[in-house]
Amino acid sequence: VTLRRYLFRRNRRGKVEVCLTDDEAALLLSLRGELEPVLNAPPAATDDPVVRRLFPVAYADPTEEDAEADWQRLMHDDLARQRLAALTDVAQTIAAARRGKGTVEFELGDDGVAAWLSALNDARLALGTRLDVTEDMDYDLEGRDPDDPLTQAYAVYLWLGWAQELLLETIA
Amino acid sequence: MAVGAMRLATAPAPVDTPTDETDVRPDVPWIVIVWNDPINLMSYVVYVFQKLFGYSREKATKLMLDVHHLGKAVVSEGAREKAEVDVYRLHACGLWATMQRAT
Repeated sequence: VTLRRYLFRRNRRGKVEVCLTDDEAALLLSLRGELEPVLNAPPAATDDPVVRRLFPVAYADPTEEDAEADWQRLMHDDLARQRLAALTDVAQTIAAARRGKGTVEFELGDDGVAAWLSALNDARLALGTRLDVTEDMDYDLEGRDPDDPLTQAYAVYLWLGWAQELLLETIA
Repeated sequence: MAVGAMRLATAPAPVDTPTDETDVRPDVPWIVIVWNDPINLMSYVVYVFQKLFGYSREKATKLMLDVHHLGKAVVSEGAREKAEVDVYRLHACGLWATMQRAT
């Protein structure tokens, strides 16, 4: 059993100290590889709801199709690059971190916090869309088969949301 | 409202041109709408509104609650170019945002 006293906490220098368990670190390290195919998918040619959620239309009016095409042409690759950069930042931070007994510890400055929030949120958007989550969904995992891949996916989704909420509380 | 030179250059000059025949109406402002979704955390949406638009915590919270309870909220407005950039920044943060002409 790994004991830790915090996941995120702010120190006197205004940085956010992070203490992940090895399992959490492994999960976060895997996000870039999981999301890369979705982020690199050509946007127009797909019906994948995850791609559509990460890259929604800009123009509400469907008759603005020319402006929409221009906007996507100008913005899509930048959006994908920015997201991949945040996921890379997360992976590199973990790879370079100090190892404790069953833990991975490091600190984040403002840019790091922004990258982490972005990566956590993109992972939740992708996973939540795949799981087709709803606002009033019952998040209780009790009674679910722990070996069911769907149960594990829900557990990851819930953990990502919990971590994001804690990080937001830490910087508020 | 400030109008970009590019858009002015392509704007219809004659007064007798029917305005509904053209896409370019520089005098009409645009609004940016954020739509409710079941995934983004309420606290995260407040954080994004404060970070992107410099809104106070109170204003950001009110807009977030409008999105949550009413299904959508207008979070910014202005010229088309500004709306396009705001939509880009909101999408970069994972919020579901669209732009349309203010009516």
